[in-house]
Amino acid sequence: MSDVDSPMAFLRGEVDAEHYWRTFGEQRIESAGVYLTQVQKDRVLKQLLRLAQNLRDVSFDAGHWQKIESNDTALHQSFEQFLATYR
Amino acid sequence: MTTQLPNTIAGLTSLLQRGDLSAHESLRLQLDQFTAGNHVTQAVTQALAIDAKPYDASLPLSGVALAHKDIFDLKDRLPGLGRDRGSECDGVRPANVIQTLERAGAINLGALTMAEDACAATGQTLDLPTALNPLDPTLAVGGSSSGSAVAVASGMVYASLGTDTAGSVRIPAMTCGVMGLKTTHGLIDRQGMALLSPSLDSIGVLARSVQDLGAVMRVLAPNLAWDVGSVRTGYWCDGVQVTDDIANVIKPVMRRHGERAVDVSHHEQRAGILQQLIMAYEVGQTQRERIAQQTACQQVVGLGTLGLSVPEQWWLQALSRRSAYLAEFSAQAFDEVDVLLAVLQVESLPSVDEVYLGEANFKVAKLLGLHRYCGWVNYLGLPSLAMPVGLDHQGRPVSIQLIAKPFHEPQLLAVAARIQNEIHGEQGIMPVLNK
Repeated sequence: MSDVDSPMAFLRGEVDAEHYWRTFGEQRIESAGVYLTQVQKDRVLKQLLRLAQNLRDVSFDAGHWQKIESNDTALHQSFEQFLATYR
Repeated sequence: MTTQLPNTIAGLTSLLQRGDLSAHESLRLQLDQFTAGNHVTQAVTQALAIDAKPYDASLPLSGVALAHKDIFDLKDRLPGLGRDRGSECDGVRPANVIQTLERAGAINLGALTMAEDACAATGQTLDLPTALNPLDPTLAVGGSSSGSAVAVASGMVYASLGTDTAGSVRIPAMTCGVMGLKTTHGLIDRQGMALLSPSLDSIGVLARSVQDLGAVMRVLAPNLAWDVGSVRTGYWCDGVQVTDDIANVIKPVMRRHGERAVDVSHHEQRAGILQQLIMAYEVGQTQRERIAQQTACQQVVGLGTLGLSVPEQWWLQALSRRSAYLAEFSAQAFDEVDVLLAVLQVESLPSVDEVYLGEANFKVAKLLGLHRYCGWVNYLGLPSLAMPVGLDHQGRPVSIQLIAKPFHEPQLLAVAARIQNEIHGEQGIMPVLNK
């Protein structure tokens, strides 16, 4: 499992939280220049787990969690164009 | 010659047009009310110097004094964002929305207090005075547009601009018993406004009457379809998690003004989770430096740290589904309905010691309850109007939200006007400090 695939694999339930956190999650925070105590890390991991579970509960089945290639600018424009159809 | 201000912008404009009130006297009265209210409520972060101008009947807001959330750039001033009282900065131009109001003749009396970085469901501030609820100072003021709600509810101003990312116009309106309109995503230009979560932030308006919301909105969004015909209404109140006290107030109103029942629980749950994900991720991005430098407030640190751990792909997934989920929601909710009356408030308004951080009686469930039914609307980009529709057994206001299709704010106001006339009277909600 490559690190690039790890976030989506976590969402699909293919890797466990500890693996995701070790290979990806903790690094993301530290790369932003933020250093957490162990208590804070535990809290963030718990929140992340809850978020992932909530996403799985309310969204499609796991097969739909595939990598998105678009960037956020294109996605924003797409949504704004769709909103404009309501005018 | 009158010495008392009418309760609506139209009332004030009428006096000015007839010459029953001079522009000078009108401004003096409004300024007196603003200053007197601030002594009680502490809603003002910074009062502004004012250029008195003669009344100009060609300008729809001529002579109307407003004040706004301290999140907008003003002339030669950067906003304080709830952290401080703002700072002078030569060359700063007012935010586009502020300029639009000024071109329509509105006067800006001051920058109003807000929750720090617009990232809280209450108006509690650490380094600035926290605004007091004019209904009852022991009641919490919602956030983050706290000063706007307080200033409107107390009669300090006719209307105020706020911003709404996860309820930050609707929650303070609810806690102060006034109306708060979160506008359609992208309707009002956000240039010159500090962004917290760019995919979700919307500018909104708070006021005591539908007429005053309309007066401001016609200036900010003149190209909406203001000629409203018949409006079909529906309501969603079954299966929602509210106390009996709240249900006893909102259900009769919803059934009286809503023509058919609609169940959007699934959409609300799904959109709500995706809104949380987007907001966490984007707060992490916009506040990254301040979190790393340990200069961010507790709420920003809490949400932003989670956001920094959220992978970009999850965020992109949430963004990519917005149009499809809005289409699904519309197909169900707006098939035979134009305006949906929906739950906003889950229990009686909380007191300060129940939802302000560090208070002995703090209850996290009550704090979360304030924005329980807000964020899903932001994810779908919909306009929503919070308005009080009755009182609970303690005499505290109870509010609902009216939701319409994107860019259908005029329809929202049309339905709200009917409800207002029945419950509050044609003049809308009376200011509390003047009672």
